[in-house]
Amino acid sequence: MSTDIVKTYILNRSSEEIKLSLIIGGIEQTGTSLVTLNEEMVLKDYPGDLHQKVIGQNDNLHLKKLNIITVITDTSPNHNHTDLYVLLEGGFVTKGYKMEEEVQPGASTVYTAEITFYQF
Amino acid sequence: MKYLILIALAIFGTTAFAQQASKNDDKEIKQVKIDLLKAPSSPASALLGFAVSDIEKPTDLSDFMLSLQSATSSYTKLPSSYAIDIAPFYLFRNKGADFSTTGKNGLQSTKFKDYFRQSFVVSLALRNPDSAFNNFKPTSTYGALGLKFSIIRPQYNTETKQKLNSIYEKQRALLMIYKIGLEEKRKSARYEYLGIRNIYLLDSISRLPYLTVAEKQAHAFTMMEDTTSEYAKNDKEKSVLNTGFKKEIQAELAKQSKLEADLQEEAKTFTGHREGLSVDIAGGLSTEFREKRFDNSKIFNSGVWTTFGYNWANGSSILGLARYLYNPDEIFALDNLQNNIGNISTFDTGLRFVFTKNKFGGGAEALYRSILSSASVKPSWRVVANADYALSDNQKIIFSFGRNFDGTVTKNGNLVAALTVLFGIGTNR
Repeated sequence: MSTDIVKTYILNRSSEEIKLSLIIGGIEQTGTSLVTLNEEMVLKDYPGDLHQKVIGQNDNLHLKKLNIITVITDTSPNHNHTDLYVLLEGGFVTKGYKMEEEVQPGASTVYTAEITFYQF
Repeated sequence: MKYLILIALAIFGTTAFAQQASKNDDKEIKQVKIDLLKAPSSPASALLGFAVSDIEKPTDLSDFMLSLQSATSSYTKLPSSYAIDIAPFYLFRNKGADFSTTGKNGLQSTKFKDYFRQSFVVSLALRNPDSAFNNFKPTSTYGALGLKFSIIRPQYNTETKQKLNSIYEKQRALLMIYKIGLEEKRKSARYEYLGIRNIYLLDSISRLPYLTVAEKQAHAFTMMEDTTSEYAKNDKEKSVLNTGFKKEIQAELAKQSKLEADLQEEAKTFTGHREGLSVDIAGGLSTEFREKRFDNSKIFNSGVWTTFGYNWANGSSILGLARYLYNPDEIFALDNLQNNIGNISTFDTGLRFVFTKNKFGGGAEALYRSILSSASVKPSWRVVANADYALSDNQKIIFSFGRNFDGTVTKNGNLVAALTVLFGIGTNR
């Protein structure tokens, strides 16, 4: 499975909020994320899971690009599995994207996600 | 030479142990455990005698469904032998439970709500034996349900916190390096073209006449999900380009600094040690369905474990146990004979001390068993001391010594000796 995704998230014609969640796996791993929307910094060096962070509204995100970079370091003494689940809610559909990688003991994986918002 | 001696000791220890074991029942070997005082990580599986390696531990919902499908031959029959541990809050992590180390509500959290959710495990087991073994009958089906959770969890110790902080600082530096590097590399003509091309494809749908907004959304969604479409292929190519960009950044970084290597070295030795008071609860109940009929059942066995203790910053800990078992399949206090007395309840209390210093580990545990429901069986006790030395990350030499409940292994019941060398296969983890 890839550690990089490029996707488009379809928006609704509404003012409903678009929420982003980042779930770091597996158990006992250490992850930090950086999130930008176009040139604007949304989250800098955010440790651990992110739950339902409001990115904007459906009607002000058209053609904007959300860029996520997450570093996950293997700190679990029990396994070497890392994964990142990116979840977007509030648009046309709720959409989740999973990326995962087995690493060498103590190694890090850099995950990237580029999401373009589009409104019809 | 050092290894030759160790191998000779291992062979001698194993041989001596095997000879002794052949004089006794196989079950007796299992009793030379050095961590009897720990509550089982999977109570239901423990009650039905499953090995830890046979327990399924799904990490997400699709894993769980796949495991269930495989065990039930695509949902057509009951599994013959199946044990599973489900951490419901892990399976539904998007609902707010955080299992990372540094998250605000993660494993570093000292809030009850957080560590309860992180430690809560539902354990299920089902056994349909083909032939009689231990107390299991081939004419019956056995099912068990168990729960495990923490009431009090100690917090990370100072060394763990410092290490996590150092890992976090290095991750911050990496994030900034990759952000700047990716922004630069994504300016490549091909990368930009693929993005523009996909927006053009979406604009084409947007300009289609006679379609409602919902129809355009559905049309675009179908196009994106179709892996053979030009749209999906463009996205895939951009993903592959990003992977290549990251490799270039990593190679450039490795030439200039040891940041990633230092981070790996630090993370590799992370132990997650904690300091303070801990209280864990585990409990389970198993049922025998006679003649494999669900309307003809009785309790097979059940147990409640409470472990409580204190961990010190230097790696030492003291652990107490109170354990109630109902109608167990064997009673150690009865000289390992099968329980023919009927419904027997036992109550165990015990204490364990563990000490670790660098590669050396040692400890001792004592357990006293009272029989609550029978005056004909006398109470008994067990004491075991153990020591281990880590030869490398996955090789350990272990020594244990003690007396078991019924004096197994030696007839006089006062000496159990086993010297074991464990070699891990694979990476040095």
